Amino acid sequence: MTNALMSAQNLQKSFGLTEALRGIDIDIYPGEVVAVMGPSGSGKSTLLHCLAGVLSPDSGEVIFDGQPISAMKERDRARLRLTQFGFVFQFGQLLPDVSAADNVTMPLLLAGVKRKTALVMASEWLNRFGVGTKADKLPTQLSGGEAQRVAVARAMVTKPKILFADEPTGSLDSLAGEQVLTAMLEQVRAVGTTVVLITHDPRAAAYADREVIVRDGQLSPSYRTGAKVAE
Amino acid sequence: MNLTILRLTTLNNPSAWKRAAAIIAGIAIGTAMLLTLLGANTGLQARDTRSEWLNLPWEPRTLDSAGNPIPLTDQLAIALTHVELFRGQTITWLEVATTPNSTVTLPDGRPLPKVGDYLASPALRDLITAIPSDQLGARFGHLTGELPSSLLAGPDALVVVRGVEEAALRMNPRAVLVADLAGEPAFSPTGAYRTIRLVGAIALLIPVVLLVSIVTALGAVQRRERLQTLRLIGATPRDIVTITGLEMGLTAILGTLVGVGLAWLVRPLAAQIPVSGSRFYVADLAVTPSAAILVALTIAILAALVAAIRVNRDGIGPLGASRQLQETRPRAWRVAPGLVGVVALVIAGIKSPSIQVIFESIGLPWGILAMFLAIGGFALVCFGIIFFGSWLVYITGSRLTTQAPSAASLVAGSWFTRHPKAAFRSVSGLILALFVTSVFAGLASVVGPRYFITEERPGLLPPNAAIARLHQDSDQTTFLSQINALEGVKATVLGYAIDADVEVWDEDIIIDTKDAALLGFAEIPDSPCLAFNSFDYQNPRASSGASLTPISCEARTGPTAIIVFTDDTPGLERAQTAVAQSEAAESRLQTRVWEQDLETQAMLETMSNLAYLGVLIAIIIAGISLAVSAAASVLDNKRAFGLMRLMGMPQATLRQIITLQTILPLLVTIGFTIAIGFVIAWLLVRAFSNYSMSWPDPRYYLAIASATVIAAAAVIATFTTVRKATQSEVTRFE
Amino acid sequence: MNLFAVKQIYYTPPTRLRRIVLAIWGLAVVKRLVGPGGRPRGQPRQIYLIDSVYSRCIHSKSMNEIQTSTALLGLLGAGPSHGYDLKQEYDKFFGTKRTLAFGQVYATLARLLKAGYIVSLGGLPGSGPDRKAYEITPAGRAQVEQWMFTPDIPSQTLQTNLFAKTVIALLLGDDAEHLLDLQRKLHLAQMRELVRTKQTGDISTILLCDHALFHIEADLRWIELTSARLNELRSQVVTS
Repeated sequence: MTNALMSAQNLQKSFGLTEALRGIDIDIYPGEVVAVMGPSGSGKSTLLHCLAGVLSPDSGEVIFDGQPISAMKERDRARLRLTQFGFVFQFGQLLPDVSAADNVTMPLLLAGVKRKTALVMASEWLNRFGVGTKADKLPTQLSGGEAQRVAVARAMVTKPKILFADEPTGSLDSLAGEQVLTAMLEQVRAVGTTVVLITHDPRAAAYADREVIVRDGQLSPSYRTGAKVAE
Repeated sequence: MNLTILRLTTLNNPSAWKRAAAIIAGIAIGTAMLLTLLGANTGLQARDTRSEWLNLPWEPRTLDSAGNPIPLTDQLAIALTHVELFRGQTITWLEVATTPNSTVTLPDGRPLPKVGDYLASPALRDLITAIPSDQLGARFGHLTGELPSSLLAGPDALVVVRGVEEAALRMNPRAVLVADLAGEPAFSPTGAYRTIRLVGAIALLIPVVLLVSIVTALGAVQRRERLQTLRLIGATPRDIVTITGLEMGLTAILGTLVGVGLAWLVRPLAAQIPVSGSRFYVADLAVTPSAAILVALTIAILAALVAAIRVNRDGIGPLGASRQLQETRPRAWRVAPGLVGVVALVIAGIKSPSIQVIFESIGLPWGILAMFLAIGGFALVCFGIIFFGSWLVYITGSRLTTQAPSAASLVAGSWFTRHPKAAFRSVSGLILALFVTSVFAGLASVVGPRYFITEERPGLLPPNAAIARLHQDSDQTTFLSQINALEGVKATVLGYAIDADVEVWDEDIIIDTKDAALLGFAEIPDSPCLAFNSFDYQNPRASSGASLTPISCEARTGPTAIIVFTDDTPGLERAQTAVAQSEAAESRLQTRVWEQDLETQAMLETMSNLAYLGVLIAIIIAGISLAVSAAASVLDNKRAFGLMRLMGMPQATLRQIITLQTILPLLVTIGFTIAIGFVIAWLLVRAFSNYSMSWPDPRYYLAIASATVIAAAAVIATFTTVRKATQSEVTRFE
Repeated sequence: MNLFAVKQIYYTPPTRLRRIVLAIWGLAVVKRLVGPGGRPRGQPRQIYLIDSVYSRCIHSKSMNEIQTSTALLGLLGAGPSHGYDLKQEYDKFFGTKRTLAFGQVYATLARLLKAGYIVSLGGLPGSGPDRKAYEITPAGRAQVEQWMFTPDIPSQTLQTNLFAKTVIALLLGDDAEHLLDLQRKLHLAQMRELVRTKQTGDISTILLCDHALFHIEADLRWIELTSARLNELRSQVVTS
């Protein structure tokens, strides 16, 4: 418990009359890859948003690196997202009119890095993901898998402590999905980033070190301890 | 850092450039309009200041308190002004009498003309050259120079400064002694006139503001998505606000620069528009560079602030796309502001004595209160219409959805219930323009027909006849023979004064009975001499004129007046020239139409021209707003429409939906808006005068027709957008 | 018609695949004998691992027997019953394909008796096993519990066994959701292992791993669906 990088206690969140999270406790340890699974509508995405500081839970607390972040001001949480977290979502969310390299530089530019330096870092990361030759292309000119790898490069360019991925392979075919996940995990392990991966696809979850299952806004009972499963 | 992000995020795609171009255009038009109006305002003031020297003080008169004439010195001169009508135009005369070595000069230092000489404005000089001299030029004497433009109101000003004999001027009781010709500030145009100018200017600017606000909403959906991505990866709300504000600010600055250039180009054109009867010198409409820069900066900063505040209030978060901003439902109490405005106008218009007494008892004079009520009420009604329109749209929408006769009306109806404010905002420019036009048309229908009567009526001075006063002790015989010999003069009648020692009567002119018929009297009593009141005889507003009273011929002295009958205008002008040249006449020949009335009428006509011009501009701009807004809503709902196409909805139905969405708010509100407009006009007329309204000018119907055409054009223009926007590519990724 | 006729999902016994596997394995062995250096030591072992996954298929039959007897035991857990009634109940729940012969029932009951999982309640003296009533013992209950909450290795007969366990759990009022979860966990752990193997393997390894992964995934999907249908299943089971 004390060496958890991020831990959430009794998270609850409702949207209007819909209860998305009904009391979730979860611990995430440094360097591990956690898969969050569950049927659609179970609250997985909401859990991820609360953990990443995108949403504020109605009650409960998220503690990152010893600091509670749920009550932080939006400005501070945005800074946290910029420097400590990385995001990969199902549809990549790349800016459509901007080249791949420029997309990857975005977080750096927001953090105040000069454009030249940022481009150098960006091309380095694109190379690591095997899409270095596509640096000048627009996202619409990339295949799904390439676009997702650019998205992961953007997420990793700030060397975040935690990478949050929401269905990163959801819109990809098997081979592309495998490529993205393999590349992602390779780089992630090289840097030591922790990964929280939401997926409903067991073959994607198999890339993780452990899984938790969310059902109806709560962790499935078998996963409630949240402790690392001994292999 | 921010600039790079700005460039990458917002300016990188062609549709963003189109949007920027539209914003630049809108802001340019607005800036140009504002600068032109500012220039016109300063120009009007400059105009008045320049002709101040023609407004002589009332004191001191040429006679001292004892009745003795004050002698002329080198430092003093006698001056007299009057305004003369010539073929519908006014000529301003300044007659001066000076000592030979007088130091009194024109305001720019030039010496005053000597006896028999005159200085004329360029326009007057051209006129004198064009007209036969016995009709005009001979009145003045000998032309020795031109008045410079620094002393004239405008290029059309007709001004003459004439040197005359001291004795001649002293005979006129209005002559004053002056040490210089600095003049006095003009009796400033009434507050009402200024208010109208101000309101007109604002009314012109509102459609532009509306256009800009609508254009900035273009592409809002896409921008939102991009900004959300930035927020997700860690941009703070402040970063977003900065980016938006900077983008808008830069675009706005470009727009204002274009606008300044546009204003400079338009200036010569604008100078041609006659305001208050005269055109402008082009230089008059110029705005100082510092003022232009100030205006440009203010507009740009305002635009940037508004964009920043808007985006801040919208609160773009990392997840926004899934939770759409809902508009709050408009409630029926929205009718309140407009209703209050109407009530205020009703109070002002009904002029009920009991209410007046109440207010006067608390010390509020009715006149000022009426003005406040009228202006405030009008403003409230303007605002109230905009405020209330969205509720009407909402009600229409809910009616449509419950009773939808077709798929199109169902879709349109549900859009109205979800976005009533946006739906109404797109047509609000047009609605407001038509409302103001209706009010104005109602007001103008009162002033349109002349309220002075020019036809022949019994007891009134006939048209083409004029009356002048004669000096009792002057040599009249030469003058009379001169007049009678003029070409175009049909007849003359002499009028006499009543000897005050005998009796004091209301009537002041005595005539021979034989002349009564010629003078236009119908009922002629049987008496050797008859008397009538000259004021009633000359009153342009009276529908019935003077009446004849029998009087004995012994009571008369004189002759003190002459009535000249002419065939035509040149004849009248020749008579006028003769009167001017002679010293027998105390005043000029006066027709029944007064110069002030003609001037007022001219001014009102130009005002109404200007107003209709403004209305046309406003309608065009509002029409553009409508088209842009309709296009924006199509683009925002591209996905929904594309899906509908995919499901098999025929293009015709889609077009019906667009038409309904665009036109229905207009149709629903237009009827009651126009009706209210005329009611307000009627109330305003009642509040400030005793006249009544009649049918509006044909130009009003033209305005309505053009509004309809423009609305239709806007809708049709949207159809192309719909077709392009809903082609299959849009839904490729569904 | 039997409400619980479960369609058996036969995946093609991967005979061709097994041949490839054996061929490669054989090749590896030959290479080890023939060439110096050769393949890294881990190679044949990995193939053996995959092989061992499939080799369970061969032993499916004997697994089946153990499952059937425990299923009967589980049914007794709901309450004492005669042999005849027991067979009727078994057939009703577990389908025509696996109707038990009476002989099998009696044999199974005898085995259970010997193991101490059930006791006879006596009946008409001198009557056969079909007239005797049997009752489950605490040891028997424990056995059922252990059977239910021990997940199976993914195999051809997994669904039917899992189905049996689920039905029994519902009958006994136990936590069926939990046992499905446990099975899921094991499946996922297996998949993790396969993914790890894939990452350091050559193309043939990858192909084999992929194949296994897809099958396990199919199992998981079925488990997921069953889990979603539990309420409906529960109502059917309890009312019959």
